Amino acid sequence: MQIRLQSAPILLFNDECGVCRSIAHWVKKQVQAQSGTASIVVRPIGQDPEELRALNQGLNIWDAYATIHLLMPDGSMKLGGEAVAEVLRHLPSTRWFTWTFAVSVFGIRPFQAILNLAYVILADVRPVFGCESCGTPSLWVRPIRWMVNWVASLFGKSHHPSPHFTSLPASGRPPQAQNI
Amino acid sequence: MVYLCTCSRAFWRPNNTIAIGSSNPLAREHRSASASFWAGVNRFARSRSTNDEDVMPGYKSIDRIQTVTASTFDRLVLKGEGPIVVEFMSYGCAHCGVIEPDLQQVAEIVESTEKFFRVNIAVDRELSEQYEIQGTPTLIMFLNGAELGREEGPSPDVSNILAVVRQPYES
Repeated sequence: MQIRLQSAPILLFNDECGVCRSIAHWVKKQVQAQSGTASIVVRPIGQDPEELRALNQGLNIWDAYATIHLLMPDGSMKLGGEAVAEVLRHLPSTRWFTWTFAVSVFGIRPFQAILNLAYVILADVRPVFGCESCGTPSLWVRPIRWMVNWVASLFGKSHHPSPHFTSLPASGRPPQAQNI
Repeated sequence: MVYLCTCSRAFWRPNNTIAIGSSNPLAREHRSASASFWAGVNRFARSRSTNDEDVMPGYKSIDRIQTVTASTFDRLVLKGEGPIVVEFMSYGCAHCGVIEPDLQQVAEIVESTEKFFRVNIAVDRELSEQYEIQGTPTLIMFLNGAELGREEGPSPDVSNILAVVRQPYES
């Protein structure tokens, strides 16, 4: 299998998740605002496992959908909060504060830990803000989701997906990737 | 960006970086702990105490579920011989990711009697409409081209999925 050589990190995003699409769109806009070559390539994960393996042989499509992946030009991958930090390092509007993520106190990087935690929380609450493919939210998010559903039901909109099941929208299936 | 994982357990990790050429255990851990709380807790505990091959045989070993498309569905499923189980799924569906290791295990167990296929509804929309798929994952059991039963959103548990895929052929 031929591995594609890349000059900039590749940020993979879930094109079946509205929150992820919005964040990817923001990153893409930030990248486009830069002059010169793109510092990050933003692309949807897509549906082809082999295509992903061509980007990085260690990349599994299920893994890619499970958490944020940043494919580095040297062949390594950054995940979760580390990937977020690396993306922020590459954006002109955010790179000024990213030195904090490298600050280490007794072997612990407190700001990176906070970022990792923030990533995890945002990941958990995605179903509340619009994620077509996330299915059943985490336990701590369920009361929030329940309240949102309850409020929505007051306006005639209610959605209660059964556990272990991701309901398709009435139109047929989750929307395709947006070209950003 | 950004597929933000629904699990919540790796934020204290000092370095979520996968070295060149290695596989991806962190993502596997994220995926395994997501979506269903009990399944997540169960899998997370296992992923901490055992190696990935033990926990998720399907991910590192061969894929026992062949993907069929609209062009091959007729030949492989409708005209296929014997019991055939088709999973209608999508890679972006969190629950599909959760049951994937269990499905792989079940496919291995029933390999001699039943064939397993998957249809990616994000790619083959017509098939999902044709079979009136309401959500993913949905398992449909076929015999000689006829649908014998279906299960929408099976629990991520090997024994449960095993019962689901065997029951229609026993009655």
